[in-house]
This record gives sequence, C-alpha cells and structure tokens, in this order.
Amino acid sequence: MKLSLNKKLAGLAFLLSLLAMLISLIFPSSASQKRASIKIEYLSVLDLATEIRNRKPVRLIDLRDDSSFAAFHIPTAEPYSLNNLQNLEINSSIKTTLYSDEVDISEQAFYLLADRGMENLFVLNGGIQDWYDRILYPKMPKTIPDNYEDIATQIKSLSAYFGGHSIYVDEGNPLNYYKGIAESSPSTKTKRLIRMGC
Amino acid sequence: MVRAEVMDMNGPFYINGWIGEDASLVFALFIGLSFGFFLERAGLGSAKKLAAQFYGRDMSVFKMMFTAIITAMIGLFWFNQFGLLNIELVYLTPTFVAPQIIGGLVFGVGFIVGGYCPGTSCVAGATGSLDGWMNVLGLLAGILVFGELYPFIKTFYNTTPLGKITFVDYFDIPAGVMVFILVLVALAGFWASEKIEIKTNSKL
Amino acid sequence: MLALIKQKINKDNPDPYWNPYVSGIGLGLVLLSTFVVMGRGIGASGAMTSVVAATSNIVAPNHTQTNEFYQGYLGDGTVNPLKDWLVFEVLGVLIGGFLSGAFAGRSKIKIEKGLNITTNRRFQYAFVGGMIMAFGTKLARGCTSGQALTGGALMNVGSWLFMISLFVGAYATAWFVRRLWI
Repeated sequence: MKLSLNKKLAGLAFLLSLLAMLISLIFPSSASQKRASIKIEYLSVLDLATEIRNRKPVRLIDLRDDSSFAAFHIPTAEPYSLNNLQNLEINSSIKTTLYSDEVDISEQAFYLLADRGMENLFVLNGGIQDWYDRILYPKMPKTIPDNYEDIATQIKSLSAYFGGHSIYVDEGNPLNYYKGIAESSPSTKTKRLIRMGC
Repeated sequence: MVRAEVMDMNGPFYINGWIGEDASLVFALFIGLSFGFFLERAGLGSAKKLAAQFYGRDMSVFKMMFTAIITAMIGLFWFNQFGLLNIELVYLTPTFVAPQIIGGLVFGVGFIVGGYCPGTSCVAGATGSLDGWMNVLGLLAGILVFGELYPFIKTFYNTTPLGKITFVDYFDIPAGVMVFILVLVALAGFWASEKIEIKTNSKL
Repeated sequence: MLALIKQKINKDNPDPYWNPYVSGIGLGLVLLSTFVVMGRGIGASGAMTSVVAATSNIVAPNHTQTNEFYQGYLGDGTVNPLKDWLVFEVLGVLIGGFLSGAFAGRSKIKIEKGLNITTNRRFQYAFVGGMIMAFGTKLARGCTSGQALTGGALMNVGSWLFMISLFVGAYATAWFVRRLWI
C-alpha cells in the first residue's frame, strides 16, 4: 500500500499527538502544562516617585481604608478596597501600581486583577510606609559619602517635590537603600522592545 | 557541571536573558522573512485564492492555518515535556469573551469584503498587488478610527474577562489529551476540506 | 548563478503553489521557533498599530499621548515606537513575500479581483474591507496571526473563540458579496 505525502503527514501528526495524550495520562504531573503561577511584579517607591514627577502615565490604587486615604495618600491615587475591586476597570494600556499598608493586601489584589486578564500591573514594594520613610521623609547622612552625591540630590529633590523634607542622621548610610534599587531594579531599564500583545 | 549549563539553556531564550534586545530585532526580521515566504508559497498572497476558501473551491487557507497550528501545538507540548521550553513563560493574550467573539465576526466580514487578512495583505502588497496595498491603507485607517473611538469602546473592550486561560485550564484536562483532541478535529477538518473541494469543483 | 535567478524572476508562467500542508508545517515551525526564542508569537496588526500610533504622535502629540489605546504602543517615550519587535517582523514579511513571489515568477504589478467588478470597485472594497477588519482585529486583541495562529497553538480560549467567529462571519457574508469574487 502506497500512502500519499499528505496521508503520511496526517499519520505523523496523529502518532505524535497520541503519544502526547498517553504520556499526559501516564505522568499527569510532568505534563500538566498548567498556568497556575502568576508572578507578581514589584515597583520600588523610588521608581514610582520618579515616574509621577516626570508625569508618566501611571495609575495608583490605594487599598487602605477610607479614613487612612482621607488622612494621607500618594498623589493621584484612587481609593479601592479588596471588596470593591471588581468595579475597577481592566485596563492594561496604563501602568497600574497597587499599594497598601500591608504588602499582603496588595499582593492579593494583584492576583484578583491578574486573574481577570490585567497586565502592566505592579505592587508597590514596601507600600505606603516606604513611601513615607524613603521618599517623603528620607533619612540622609550628615556628610554625603563619595559616589552618593547623585542619588542624594535625586532623593532630596523628590522629597521636596512631594512636599516632604530630609531627616539627617548621624549613623550609617541610609542611601545604600536607594543605591541598591537603582542597580537592581528592572524598571530603570529602558522600555522593552518586545510589547507582547498583537 | 556541563549538564547543569545545558539544563539552563532552555526557552524562551529572550525571557531567560539569552538574547538581547537588538539580537531579538534581527531575529524578528528573520522570522518575518520566513513567515512571509511560506504564506506566499502556499498562495496566501492572492486575494482570489483566499476568497475561494469561503466559496468551498479552495480550502488552502484552512489547511495551512490548521497545519501550522497543530505543528506548533505538538512542538510546544514535546519541547515543554523535555524541558527545552517553559510554556508558562510564553505570552498568552488574555481572553475577553464578548469582544473576541464580536471582533471575530466583524473580522470575518472584513476578510471576505477586502479579500485579505492583515498578514496576507502585506504579502500581497509585496508581490505587487495594488489591491493588497489598498487593503493595508484601509487597515491603517480602520486602526486610526478604532483609536479615536477607543474612549467610547473601552467599556465593551474590557467586558467578560476570563484572564489568561487555555483549554487545559478551562476544561481541567491534561495537556496531551487536549492536543490529541484538537489534532483529531484538525485531521477531520482536512478530510472534509478535501471532500468539499472535490464536490464544489465537480459542479463547476 | 545570477542569470539563473534573473531567469527565475522573469519567467512568464508562474510556478504552481506549494502543497498547503507542507507550507503549513513550515509556518508552524516558524511559529514554534518564535515561541522558543522569544516567548511570544507572531503578529501583523500590532505592527500597523505601532505605525498609526507613531504617525499620530508626530501629527498630534498631546492628543495621542492622552489616548490610552495609543499609550500601550508608544511606551514610555524613551524608545521610538517603531523600534518594536512586530514592526521588524512585518518588514521581514514584506521581504520574504516579495522574494518568494519573485522566485516563482509571481511578483508583478497586478490587481487581484473577480471577473465581474471594475478595478475602482475592487479598490473601494479592499479599502473598506481593511477598515472593517481593523476594527475586528483591535476589538479582539489580535488578528489571524496574533490570535488565530499564535493563540491557536497555545490552546488559548479567546483565540479559538475568535477563530471560530472569524470563519462564521466570513461564511455568513460570502453569499452576499459573491459578485466580488465569482
């Protein structure tokens, strides 16, 4: 019996997929190919502050209670809670950052929104506390060590921009915190050329 | 030691940092070149051949599309199985049920009226079809209209979200079983296409 | 060698098309290598959107930058929106399509249309069809390449919904526009 090329190809496809089915049934765990893991992306307060000051389009979601929001919030933030998060419009074209006073809540909200297909989503690392301690009222060494002038100037100007001021301390070098971020943060890189959607 | 290095070199290369931004653009050019080449080879740069699909005369579009889909699907399964590619890291467009169904219907209407889809209109244009270029101009104009109307469409655009979800998650069955089912569907489709072509063309 | 290529390009009778299944396997392997190397699929309409967003950004920057739809394509403004993976890929499609057509004797200036319509009508329908299709593709977040092929291979629920609707829409309309093609 001579088979045409098309029939041979069809047979090959059938065989490879039949084997795929068998291997999936025999070793269910190794071939699950599930997409259960959603990876949380974090944004540092330094990056957020820089983006707000540079008037980049950012959307901020405050997940604390109403009284905390009324007392103080990061400029441009919108108040939401885990209970009314379903009213938040899914919009992946604008960078959206979630923050709270506890990172757990932001992470929970991240999962809820990512489950609904939202992308371009971040959790503010350190939440409102880091914003307060590191941007609004940053600690500064009294004498700025060498190689730290740039970052010190940057933090001072950010702090002033958001209406805070630096607090000078005698011991240690709190600027190491920012230096670490600037070196490791992925968002300080330029735009990735690979926009993933169509 | 050597083994560990080999294990690390798995896909997706770009996401795992094996190739940089600029190299990825060169690769894009190469991928596009092969993509355009195969489309043209199969005749998908011809509006008449594309339209013939919807009059049952020439089912090449269906055949080529589904062959490509099951080839890549089977490949993905086996690559993932042997650890050459982590399928979880491959980008998945999120599902929005209503906009994607309505979008598909509208797209189908545009396809048969214009005679091309976005990729094939580029191929047609490149091989000198002036109507292909007209179709590209229409596409650009349509995107502009969509962009300008976006504030009004936004709500509908974002309704009925299901998130990033595949049939494997949706039906909760093993990936290999889903692959097998879809391959069977495609093979049945190919068999039917051959029959339909013979039937329609014998009537002419 | 050159003479042979020239002869191939200028031949009068175009070569027959390849077997669609064989070309389909070729396309499937291209798609598969894109997944392995890039962790994304192929596309076409996305590149056109980048072109529209970039042009609009030159003509009316304020208007464009406040539109959320364009923002996704413009990025943060540090990189030219045309320096995008899909834009380069579509440039490749143009070159690849041309070369394949040239070697088969098919790359010639022509107008593809049915026997019963004029060139002007064909141009009008090609333009209008493109506009309708653009609307569908943007609503569905992808086209035949970005949704149907890419998502189809990934068994993406939304892509299969799109693909089925695409065929339903086209078959349902085909009878009404048969004068265009038959």
